[in-house]
Amino acid sequence: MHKTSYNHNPMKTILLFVASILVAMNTVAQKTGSVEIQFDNVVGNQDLVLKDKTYTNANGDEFAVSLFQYYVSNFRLTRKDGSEYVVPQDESYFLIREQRPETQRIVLKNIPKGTYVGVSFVIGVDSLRSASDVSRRQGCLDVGGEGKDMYWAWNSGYIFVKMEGRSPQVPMTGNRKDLVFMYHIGLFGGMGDKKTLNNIKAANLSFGADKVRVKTDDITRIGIKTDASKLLNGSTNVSIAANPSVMGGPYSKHIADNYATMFSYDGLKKELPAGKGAGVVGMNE
Amino acid sequence: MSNLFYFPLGEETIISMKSILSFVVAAVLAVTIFSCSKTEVDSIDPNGTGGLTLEFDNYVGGTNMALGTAQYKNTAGESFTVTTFNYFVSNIELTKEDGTVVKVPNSYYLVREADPKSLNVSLTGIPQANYAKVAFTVGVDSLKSQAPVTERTGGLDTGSYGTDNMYWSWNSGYIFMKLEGISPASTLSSKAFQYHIGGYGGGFQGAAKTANNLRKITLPLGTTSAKVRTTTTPTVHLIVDAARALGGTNTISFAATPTVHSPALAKPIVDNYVNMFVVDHVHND
Amino acid sequence: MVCALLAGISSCTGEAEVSLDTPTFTVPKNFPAPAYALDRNRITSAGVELGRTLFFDPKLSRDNSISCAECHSQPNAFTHHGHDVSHGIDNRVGTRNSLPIQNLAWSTSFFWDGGVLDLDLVPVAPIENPLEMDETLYNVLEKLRKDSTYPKKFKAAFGTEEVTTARFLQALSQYMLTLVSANSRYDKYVRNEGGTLSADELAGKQLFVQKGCANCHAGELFTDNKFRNNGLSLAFGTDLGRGRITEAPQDNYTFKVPSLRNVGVSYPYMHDGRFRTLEAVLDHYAEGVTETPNLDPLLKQNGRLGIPMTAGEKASIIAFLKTLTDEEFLKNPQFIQK
Ligand code: HEC
Ligand code: HEC
Repeated sequence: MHKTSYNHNPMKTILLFVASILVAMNTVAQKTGSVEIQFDNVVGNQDLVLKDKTYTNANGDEFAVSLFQYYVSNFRLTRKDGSEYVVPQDESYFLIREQRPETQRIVLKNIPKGTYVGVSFVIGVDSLRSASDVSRRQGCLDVGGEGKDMYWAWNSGYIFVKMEGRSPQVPMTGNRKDLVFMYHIGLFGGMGDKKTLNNIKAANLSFGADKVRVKTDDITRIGIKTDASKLLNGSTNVSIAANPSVMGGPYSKHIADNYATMFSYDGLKKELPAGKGAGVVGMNE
Repeated sequence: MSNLFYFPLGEETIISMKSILSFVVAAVLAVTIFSCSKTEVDSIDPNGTGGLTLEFDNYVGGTNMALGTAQYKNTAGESFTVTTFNYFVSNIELTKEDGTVVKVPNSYYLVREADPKSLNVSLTGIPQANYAKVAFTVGVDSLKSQAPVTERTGGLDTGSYGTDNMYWSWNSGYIFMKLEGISPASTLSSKAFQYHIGGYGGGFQGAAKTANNLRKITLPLGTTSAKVRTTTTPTVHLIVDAARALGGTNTISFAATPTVHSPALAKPIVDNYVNMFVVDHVHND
Repeated sequence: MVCALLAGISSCTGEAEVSLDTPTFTVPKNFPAPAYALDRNRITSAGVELGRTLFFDPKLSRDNSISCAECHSQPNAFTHHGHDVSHGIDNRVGTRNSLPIQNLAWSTSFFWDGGVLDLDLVPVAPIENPLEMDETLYNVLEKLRKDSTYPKKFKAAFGTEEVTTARFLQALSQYMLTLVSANSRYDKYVRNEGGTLSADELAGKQLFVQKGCANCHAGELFTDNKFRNNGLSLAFGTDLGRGRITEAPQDNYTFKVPSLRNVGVSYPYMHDGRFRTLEAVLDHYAEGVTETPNLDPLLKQNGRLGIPMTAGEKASIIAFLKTLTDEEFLKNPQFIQK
């Protein structure tokens, strides 16, 4: 069978070596810093408290949330002149879970020094990665690891946003034995030659008057608020009684249209007290 | 295994004949222990009992039975749908490989296509053995047919049928097999056909004798015997082909005979349906 | 560079360890080019061996009771023998008839509804289906990590003992890809390898084309890999098939055209296993085709439903279909775990 030719040519090896040093030097020369984004999950103007707190949606239904988590990916930072810095894709997938505070702060590294006016990102997982082979589904996309509860095996697509909880409005009909509602929203638009719904949404947030400066070897911290009630309120005010469980299906479009607006910029932030978010990924590297 | 071979030879380092011998003994022991533990699963506890399930899988020819609108054809070439298919299975007997017959006491079961639970007849308290044959009666024997109401429980409880009656109050006998449906060939204005087969011989309290349509079905299990063990509950998967009740020995035409409601007229169908049970396979798990 | 080095080493050891015991993957002469991206997951004997061990290991289910092989058994072309819809864990009954595991390198989508497009991602579905194995992939990997033998097998196959999602799935794919069925009497006939077909079988082969079966069951794989509605009546259930995935009304009641290789032993037939015999299938095409939404136009030509066939023609077609049974495939001892 054919042999791999890696490292057989010493000249090539040296060249590769030099090239990698050049790349490394270039990064240093470029002068980069990091941006930490702190996600704060809320319900309207109240903090999100799992299980114990009752909220009311625009339709007037009372509900409590037991689980809230979502993917954000493909981050870009916008400069004053409108140009963008695109975070390399492999470092740009995050799964934020309300249950796990350490996931609520993400760090974008190697951001070129400069002043930025906004951030944009994908809510969910882009269609290319949703259809990629298993070896490229790492970290929070690992369906047998971190991403295990955010994946539909029957159509091999990710769940972008997942919210579950209880509501007295959930009708106890059919096989239902409890008042649980479930919103599992996914569908990336492409199944082979046939198209499905595309519930991938983009968030474009302006930093307003804030000047977000990225300094060399420093961390700039910003906040983003995520309003879980937006799944239920917006262009469609969802009735929990009428739609207690949405997992794919045509109705998911309405919830996705709603959650497209759930993120808002929340100002410059300070370093969080130790303990909150112990696993600040890669900060000391 | 390898641990069992590590035989401590004590202080003595000279390998004597004796120690070699004990080594051999240990090895043989190890092997026997090993094989014992393996065959243990399969060994019969002579005083032990276990379970066995008869799975009745109803078909019409080569096509699964679905009540309602599924279209079938009889051997007379008339198309039809099936609305009801019920039969009594009773006096179950299991024959061991050595020919010993085990009679399952008080075994009366009503199998109804409309009730999926009834399609699996689970027998318990069966002596552990390898069984080569299963036999049962289609219908309810004359003794039981004349028994006091207190002994008519379970499938024999005449009050349990609702609208799906399996009892002729006019001659206090059970309907052994009931096949009903719709055919355009039927000469009834409703286009229905109804075959109610019963008749245990009558003669109850001096009444006239009726036809005796009780039949015993004996089915060899083929190459795989049913191995009843403490941990193995075999399933005998039976295919029951309702089309054979309508063809085979006697061709039943919906046009010529849209209904059968009395023991006297039932014989042509009874002579057919004795051939409708076939053992498909045995699962020993 | 380190990665490249490792890759070089691991592929070397992979090749060094070729044992005659595991099956290999080759493209049969009469087959088209495979659809599976073989360069992405290079098949090695250690990988196949690991995949085979996994396929036969009940650890992949919640209570360690049921393996993949339970529902995909070799004598029945790796389908679930004797069951119209598969029985899973706790004997829970699934909703669909098990599909054969054969020639998967040529499939462009998987499951009756084509819900999964990549063979590597298929096993997650049965493992996590509560009606099948009712486990999570995450737990399975944890079980394998704690096992005394698996890390070594992963090392043999992939270079290190690390048990990852990708490796687990790729090993299962490697094994399944080797399950190639291409040595039926029909194959030996078309490849001029001494296989002969009787006059009746040859007539059936011709009728298969003439009557239009080959329009859908096309080519050497006997499928065009498309989704079609072949007119099964809805009296047996209302599985939406492809429509469940695409949520497009024009896909409702369409299902993947199945390959007919080994169809003589893979009964029962259709997505819900409603037919137990090939006679019942042919009767369906001759007179059972029902006008349901999205019925394929090939099955309603000149205003007539179905494909007119005489009893003799049906029998010849069945005789031909039975020449697709590949005894070597059904009995190859390399395919099963000892
Ligand atoms: C409980 C029975 C059961 C078990 C256990 C099971 N399967 Fe399946 N398998 C099925 C059924 C049923 C289908 C068809 C499902 C469908 O189309 O919706 C199927 C389909 C498949 C297919 C798709 C074939 C094709 O041509 O599209 C593959 C591949 C497969 N199974 C592999 C596996 C593997 C690997 C495992 C073990 C991890 C496994 N199965 C365990 C029942 C089972
Ligand atoms: C319009 C396309 C089409 C035509 C024409 C067609 N088939 Fe099919 N066939 C299908 C589809 C689709 C299925 C699966 C349907 C399902 O399960 O819902 C199928 C299933 C089958 C099966 C069952 C296979 C299995 O593994 O379950 C057999 C056998 C079969 N066809 C034989 C034939 C024969 C013989 C002919 C010609 C008389 C024929 N088909 C014509 C599309 C077609």
